[in-house]
Amino acid sequence: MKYTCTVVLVFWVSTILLAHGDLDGRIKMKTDEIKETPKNAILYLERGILYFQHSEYYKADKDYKKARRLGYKNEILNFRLAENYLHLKKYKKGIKQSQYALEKRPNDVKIHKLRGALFLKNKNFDRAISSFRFVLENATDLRPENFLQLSDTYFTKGDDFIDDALRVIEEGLDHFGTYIFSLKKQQLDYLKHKKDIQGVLKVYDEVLSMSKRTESIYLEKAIFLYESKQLKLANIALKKAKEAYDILHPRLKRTKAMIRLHKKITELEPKT
Amino acid sequence: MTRTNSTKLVFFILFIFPNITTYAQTTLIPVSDTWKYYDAGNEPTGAWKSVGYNDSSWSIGSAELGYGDGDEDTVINSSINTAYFRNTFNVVNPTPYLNLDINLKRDDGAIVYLNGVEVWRSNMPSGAVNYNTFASSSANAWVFNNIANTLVAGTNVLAVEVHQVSSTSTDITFNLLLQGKTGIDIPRGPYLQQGTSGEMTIRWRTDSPTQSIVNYGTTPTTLSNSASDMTLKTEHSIEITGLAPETVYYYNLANAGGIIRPAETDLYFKTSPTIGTARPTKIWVLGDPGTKNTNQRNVRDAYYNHIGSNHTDMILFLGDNAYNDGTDAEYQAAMFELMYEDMLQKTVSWSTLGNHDGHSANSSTQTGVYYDIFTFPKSAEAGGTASGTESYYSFDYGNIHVIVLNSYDESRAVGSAMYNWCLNDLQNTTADWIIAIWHHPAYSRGSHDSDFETRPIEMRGNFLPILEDYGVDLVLNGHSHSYERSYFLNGHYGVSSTFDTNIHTVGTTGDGDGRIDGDGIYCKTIEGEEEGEGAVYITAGSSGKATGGPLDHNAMFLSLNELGSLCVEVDGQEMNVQFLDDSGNTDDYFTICKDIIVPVELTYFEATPSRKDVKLIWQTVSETHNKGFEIERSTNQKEWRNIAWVKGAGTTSEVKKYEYIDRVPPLGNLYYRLKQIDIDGRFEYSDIEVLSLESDVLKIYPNPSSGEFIIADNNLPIDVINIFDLYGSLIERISPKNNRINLSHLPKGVYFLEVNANQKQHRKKLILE
Repeated sequence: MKYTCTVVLVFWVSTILLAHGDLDGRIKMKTDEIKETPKNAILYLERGILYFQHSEYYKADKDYKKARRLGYKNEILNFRLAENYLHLKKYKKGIKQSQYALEKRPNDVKIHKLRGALFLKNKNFDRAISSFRFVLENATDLRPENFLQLSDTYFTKGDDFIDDALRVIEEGLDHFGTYIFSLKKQQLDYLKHKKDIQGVLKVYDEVLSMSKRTESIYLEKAIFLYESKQLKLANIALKKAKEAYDILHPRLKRTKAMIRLHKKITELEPKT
Repeated sequence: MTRTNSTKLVFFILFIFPNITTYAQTTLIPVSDTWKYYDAGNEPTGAWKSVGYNDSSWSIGSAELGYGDGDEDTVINSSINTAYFRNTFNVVNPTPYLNLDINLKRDDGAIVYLNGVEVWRSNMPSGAVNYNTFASSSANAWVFNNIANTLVAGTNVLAVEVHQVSSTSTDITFNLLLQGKTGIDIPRGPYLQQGTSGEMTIRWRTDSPTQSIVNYGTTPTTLSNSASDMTLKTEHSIEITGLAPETVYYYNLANAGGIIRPAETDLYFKTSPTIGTARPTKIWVLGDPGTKNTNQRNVRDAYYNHIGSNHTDMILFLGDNAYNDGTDAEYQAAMFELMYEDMLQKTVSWSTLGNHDGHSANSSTQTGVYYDIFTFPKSAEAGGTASGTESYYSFDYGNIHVIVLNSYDESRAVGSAMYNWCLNDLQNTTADWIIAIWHHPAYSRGSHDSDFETRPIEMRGNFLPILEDYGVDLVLNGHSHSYERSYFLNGHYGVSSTFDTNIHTVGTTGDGDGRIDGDGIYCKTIEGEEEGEGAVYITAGSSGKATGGPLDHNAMFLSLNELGSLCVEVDGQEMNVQFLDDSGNTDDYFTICKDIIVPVELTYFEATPSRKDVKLIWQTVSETHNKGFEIERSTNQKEWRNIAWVKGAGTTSEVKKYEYIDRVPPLGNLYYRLKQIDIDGRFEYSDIEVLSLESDVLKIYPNPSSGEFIIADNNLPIDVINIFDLYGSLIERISPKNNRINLSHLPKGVYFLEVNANQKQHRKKLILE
């Protein structure tokens, strides 16, 4: 048994003395503190954050405003108000507060991301695009969601911007250098919306080439082809789906999803 | 590993030790360790301070030892003047230690010896001492000393004699902490991350920027491989690649100046089995552990006592690993310091994000302490499907697929990125077992109510359907600080009151306790209406605190307001789960089995010599998805060679006979086996057939022989004859002058002669009688 000791007495002691339960208890403690010092703006901010974490957005809003009335002016409050307004669906107010925060911290990726979400909800697509693009260009660690958000904004803006949406998905796929299904799925959805059959088939083939199991994707491809009246290709895809299903381990075949898949294959077979 | 009195341990280390250095230290003898002691009322005879002394007749007990104060872990004889103690410990490599720190609690005085040499005398008069020498004064406190490093590689002994201040003293006290001190402080780690069958990531923190070097090897003394990053940093992460599966590697940590954390028998990592391989697997699950208090330690100690010296293959953290806000300091105290460091240095840990972890982490930007501390796969580095984010991911361990979701700050909607990834991941796994973990419970009426809270409702409504559709077996959640374990169920996505055991439990035992000695184990069937259905849902958020609640969710078989952790053991087609409380009691247990069809039933496999060939025949009575057989041959049972492929019959219930002729194989001992391969790539080996091929060119007469015989070989003269026994061991080598051989000096029995003549070799069996 081995231990490594370092000098952390102060932190350790303070953590023991202050450690307590979850949010309900902490909210209560903060409320007690506020009772003792009702003019302390920071306490209201802190309780507001706890309310936010507890998904009590109206109470969070009330406390944030109280903190502001008591003179708290830090941009953190503006940010907190903005993110709370997003949940309260008060997008214009959220945008306003986020602007104040941005003026103090113009390169803060989190603020830009929040603004993107607010603009999108408020249907300010161009500004949403600008904010999400800033995130993509400045965040240290990107996720598929960052690309999905930006591409979705283009898509929501209108059919004229589907190609922009697709370009963003391509950017994401290039960035990750690997198969990210959520991006490929979005790509498929956009291509289907665009009725780009060849594009859809190309992506299906890419997904198939990187999948360990292919029965579901082949079936999805077959259904798409059937709906696109490409009966011969649909038949081939359906056959591939069946072949992929046939080689599954018996245990996998017994899952509800595969039972449904097999049933669907059987239903489609006579039509094609 | 055994732990007792964790509270006392923490108290001592933090508040009592007068000297805590800022150097890295390896504990060689911990507080509350087990000591041999002698309290017979006289001085032990012989060299009791030395390494070679036989202390088998001494008593044994855990520190603190003594009598009279009422707080001893081991009470010794109360009518003695002096008590004697010995601790034998192993040090693989003592050279990295600059010196040694000793913290000693003695009442009243003590003398400490290391490997037979006095290294410290505390509150004792100078000069020669014996059993009746009293301490200089009355004293009962921890004292500290730093001594030179005189450790030896291998076995070392610390011997201590504790003296009373007078014959009327009413107490004796002894405890001791021995630590080796290196030059660089390692306040965190090492800890293991993202382990696979061929790779391992080791992380640690130093107090000052330095290089990152890991030396590793298959024994603690042969660390012949190295991985390094010479950039100066304090947060170190080294990824080791090119490892063999299921292999234990010992390691040390070093910088350019040398070793900063020496190798030891408890500093190792074990690589995973190859994906798809079924191996007995032990998983430790901790939910909401991060209270940093006695409760958390007691839960830990109960598991450590339970597991003993057995290896734990992985740790799953269910979130809220460090209260209140998952800050770095809180993580330090809740995970890395006087908590799980012993386990984290040799077992890979995985985690899902809890709401408290999320207070200082942000999944949308993947920043914050949680993301800084852990290394999770983003690009399917450990199996599974690439998610592109550490916020949610999956990995494989042998035949187990683990899906880790983020119920806190990811969108839980159908069609969200996490949802689409999860669905695709499920559609791509072929693992025998699927375990899913996230923080907010699908079913709970503990300190949180899953009927009313948004996150549990959305996870239950949106993710449970797809998980169950694709055969999830076990779902583990935290958040509620209690233990709640469901029936074996399927299809319940509503509130507690809508749960119906007649509708939502699976199989004839699904509404029971799932125990082999109770209502019967839970089984996933492969036929019938409920084929492939069934999972157990556990809310296990009481690894740090238990805060009760109504604990009456209808989907639960059992709900307990108890501290504890989960032990999950998977072995082939069986999963055994038990809830171990903080006292070490098993408060709940159940088993899930998977009813699998045997792919191929082989009735026999035989190998018989046929002139210079070997004829292999085998028969099956049923085959399911049988692609075929690879025939493998070996001459030593270690290296196997694929010599042929025979196509199988796919799926059939008819008897099938197979045959293959191995043309002119090498002479000597031959081993054959079949590698039966399913169409999905799974395989299984048959038993091994053994036979020995001999040369028919070589003739020995008479045979059997009394010892003298003649070798008739067209290739004479003979260069050398190697004589092997029945087990293939070389007995003798002779270089005969002619073809008349005399082996009458050998015992009667069966031998194999390997005759080398004219650059040819022949084998023949010889019987001496």
